[in-house]
Amino acid sequence: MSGDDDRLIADCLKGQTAAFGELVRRYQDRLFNTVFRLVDSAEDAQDVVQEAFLHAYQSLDRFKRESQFFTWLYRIAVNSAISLKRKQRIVVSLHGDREGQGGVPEPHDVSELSQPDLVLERADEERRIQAALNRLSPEHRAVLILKDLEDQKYETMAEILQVPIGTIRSRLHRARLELREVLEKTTQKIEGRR
Amino acid sequence: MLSDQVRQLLATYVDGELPARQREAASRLLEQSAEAREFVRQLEADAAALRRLPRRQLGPEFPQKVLSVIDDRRLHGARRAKLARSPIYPAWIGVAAAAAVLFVVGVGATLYFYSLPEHQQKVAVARNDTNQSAKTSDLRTPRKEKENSPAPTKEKSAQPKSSASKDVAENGDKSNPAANQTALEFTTDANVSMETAPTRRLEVFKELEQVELALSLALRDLDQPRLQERLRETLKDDKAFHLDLTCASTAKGLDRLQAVFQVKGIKLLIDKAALTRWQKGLKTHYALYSEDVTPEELTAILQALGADDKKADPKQRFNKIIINHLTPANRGEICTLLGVDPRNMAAKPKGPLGVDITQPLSKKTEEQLADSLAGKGAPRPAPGKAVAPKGPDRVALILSYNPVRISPASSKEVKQFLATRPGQRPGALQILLVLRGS
Repeated sequence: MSGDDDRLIADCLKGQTAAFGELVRRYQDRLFNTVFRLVDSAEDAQDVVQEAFLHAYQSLDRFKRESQFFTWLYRIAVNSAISLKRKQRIVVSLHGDREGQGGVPEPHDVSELSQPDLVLERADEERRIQAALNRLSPEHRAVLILKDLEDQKYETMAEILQVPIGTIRSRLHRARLELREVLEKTTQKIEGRR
Repeated sequence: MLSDQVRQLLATYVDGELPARQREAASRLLEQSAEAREFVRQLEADAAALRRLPRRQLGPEFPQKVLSVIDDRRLHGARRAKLARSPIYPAWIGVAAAAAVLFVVGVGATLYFYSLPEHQQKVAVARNDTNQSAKTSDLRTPRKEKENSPAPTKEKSAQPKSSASKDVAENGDKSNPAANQTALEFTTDANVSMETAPTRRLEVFKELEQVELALSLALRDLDQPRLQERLRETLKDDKAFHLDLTCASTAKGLDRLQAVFQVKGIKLLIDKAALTRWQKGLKTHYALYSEDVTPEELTAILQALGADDKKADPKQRFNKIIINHLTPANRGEICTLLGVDPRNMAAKPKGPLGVDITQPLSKKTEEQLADSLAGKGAPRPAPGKAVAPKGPDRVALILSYNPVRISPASSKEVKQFLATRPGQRPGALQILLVLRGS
């Protein structure tokens, strides 16, 4: 844990709320980006991140200094996000698959792919990747995001997700294969439409 | 086609998490396999696509928003929350309250358990009073109490019960055996008439049964005339005795008992279960039961045992023998051992020479004829000489005392003993000798 974090946490425990504001400012974006990719909704992601900070604020005395503060914070937020996605999956399965049975979600506007504009291409690519991510289970999505977006080590990921490193390794392997399969299908579908 | 194991290895390679040796192996594989290279390329492309995803950010106002929510919801930091939860009362008040509760529970439990037997007795007597006849009431109520209370109430009728038991305990059974018997009958009646299940607490009167120790002596010392005389006198004092004899090995002790009893003309009929335990040398306490031994014979038997004891290995010797008058509890024990109802314990009336007068003469004649033909009958008397009457073989029964036989009534030996036992001869003793392992 960084010395700054340590000092800020100590100040928080003394009742200085402003110190907690500094901690929020320090980690809000990393946390939000991860959670956003997990839940695929800015509003939901903001809610999850806010609740994670509030939970951390109330549980600071239980924070064991064995791990880094942001790892602890990630654990709270990522697990909340996974729980949220699980609930949403149940609702989706009860009301039918929004994205079609077994198919890959279509880009919002396929015609945009033909646009030469780089921004639009990037936006389409983002939607394609995010749609593929959405096809994965929350657990698989979480490991991919933590590894490729956040560049976390297996050890840290195991700590955040509270599973053994071996589970992280196998889960990540399966997640990559699954993502590959989904992306290939997406590509084939898009090329077929062209 | 790459195996799943190889794919996992390559995926970990892409993540940069392989140890050095495996990384080298993966590198060699990539050099050799185009398929592996293609697979890694795809994985790296996917990972790169994920990394290229734009990073979403929250606005700079977010920290303030979180702090506002903290204020709005009146959330407290951990330390402050702890302070807010701190108890209003000092800690010692909690400790004192816990101690007080424990004290009250302890005192309550003590009072309850101490008062329970007395209470139950009162209930028992109260119920008895309504059911029992006036005669029984007379037996229960000591004269003094009765005179003072012409119209006994439930509470008053309860009082004599403890007084009666106290009297019995103080006077002793020897000075007033009838009183002792009365107390026992009283207990039994109370138990029988109780609507509740019998409990050990209601056996308080049985616990009050006091037996005056008749004699305690070392068998080895029975060569002293003074002790012999004392033993003889003690055995003449009553008709039934309980003997306790301990030794290191009951199996060897039983060997010696059998030898001495046989010499004295008493055959030991050993129950099969006891016999098995004896033969296997299992640790067992044995009970010897006899109804057909005179004080003189018992004295001689014990004397012979003592003489034998002197020759025995010091480690195998008998310890002291303790002789007591047979108590009602002992009698109940005998009934349990034999598996018969106490009311059926009395021997069948038999005439002289062991003739069972309840059986037809023809039956006995048949048996005698069969014995004669088999050469087992009484020898023909010499010419001119009178026939000496010969009684039946005298038998003592050996049973396992501890562990007790589960179903003594099913024992062939017990049945045989009960069927052939002669009526108690005049002057004969009823004895229960318990041989215990020390």
